[in-house]
Amino acid sequence: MITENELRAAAATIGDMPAADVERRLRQLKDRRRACTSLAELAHLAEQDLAELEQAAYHLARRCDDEGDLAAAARWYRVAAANDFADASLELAKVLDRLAAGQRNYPAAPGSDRTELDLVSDAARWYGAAYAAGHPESADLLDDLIARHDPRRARESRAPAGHLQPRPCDPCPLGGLTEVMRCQLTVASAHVGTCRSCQQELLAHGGILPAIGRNTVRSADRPPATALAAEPPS
Amino acid sequence: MSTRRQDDGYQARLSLASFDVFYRTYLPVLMRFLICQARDSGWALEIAQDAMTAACDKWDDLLTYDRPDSWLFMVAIRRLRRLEARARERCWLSEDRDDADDLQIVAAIDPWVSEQRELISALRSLPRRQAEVIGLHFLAGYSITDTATILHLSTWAVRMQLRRGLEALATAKPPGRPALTPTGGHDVDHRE
Repeated sequence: MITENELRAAAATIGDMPAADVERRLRQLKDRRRACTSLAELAHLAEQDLAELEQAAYHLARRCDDEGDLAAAARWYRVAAANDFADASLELAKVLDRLAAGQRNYPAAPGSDRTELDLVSDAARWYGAAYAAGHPESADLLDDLIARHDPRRARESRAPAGHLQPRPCDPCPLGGLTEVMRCQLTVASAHVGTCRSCQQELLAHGGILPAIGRNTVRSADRPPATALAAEPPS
Repeated sequence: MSTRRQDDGYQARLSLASFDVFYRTYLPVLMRFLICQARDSGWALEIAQDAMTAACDKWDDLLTYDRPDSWLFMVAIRRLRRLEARARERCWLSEDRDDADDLQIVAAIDPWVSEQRELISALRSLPRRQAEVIGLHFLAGYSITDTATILHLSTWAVRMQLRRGLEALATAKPPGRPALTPTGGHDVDHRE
């Protein structure tokens, strides 16, 4: 356990160093500078320029972020975050999070699932880096990210897998699903396999569609591969 | 940089007319501050000298700054974090590294390190930003505003990191893991 008083006590003596020790190190520095080749000096200057580049990248990222250019913001935040500059890792994770959310809202684009997954895993990685750097709020943001993009959860904007999107269709020639269920099972199955109105009615009651294959459609006498699992409508 | 000189009386006030004076004044603080931050004391000593070399290279320009020492700490911290980031990428730097042996070597040549081993270990166990703000504010004596300038954070973020860091230190466990999200409040010295 360390208290503020202990910190202050340590601070009171932090500048005390034997003069001989300091002078020795100062001589070492001067010797090193004298022995420094022009190439080594240039390497030093390049290193200093790199530090300024991080800062410039961070500022550019912020500006792009403010202007809504998230892809550019992510690119520049990444430059700064790679060198652990300020809170760039947290900001990068947030931008990637928003980009992933954008992909989620436009799922029709080809490869969008893969892109979304890449963005989510990248964002998760940088939330982890931000947490390790000392931003505990990134743990909550990471939890939210995972919850939002959990593939096991049904997507609000997409139809559940295996179900059809409702769309306008012709009325059932047999008078609807209730009438159809009064027929023989094989006839009812074959009809539901081809009648969109009955299919929608069945789905609305939580039923599962029979397999719609050539055999099912063409051979009305034969029972379909997947039997109707729905309870008869009340 | 925001710490550029505002008036011409700067040199007379701070008596930092020569680089040698600057070096003698700030090397011990910088070196020990870095020992509290780095996982490897050898890196701390090397980076302190590198930052001083950079200061020497642009000394004439630095004399036009309000606080050349702020620039020195900023350069040293960035260099350390950049190198550590590269080392983490290559798995050369473990978060769980036991620094007892490392400190024992430095403690043999530096009495301050010998006296403050527990404090250094506790600071090293903190997440990086917390260790930086506590080191700059309490050990190196920078105000919240100066600390924010050096670390390129907002003053709000610095206060938050200070609070979290002090809470983590108050309940410090054996070093090796970053502290989890703290709870409750803690008074912080708000020097501006």
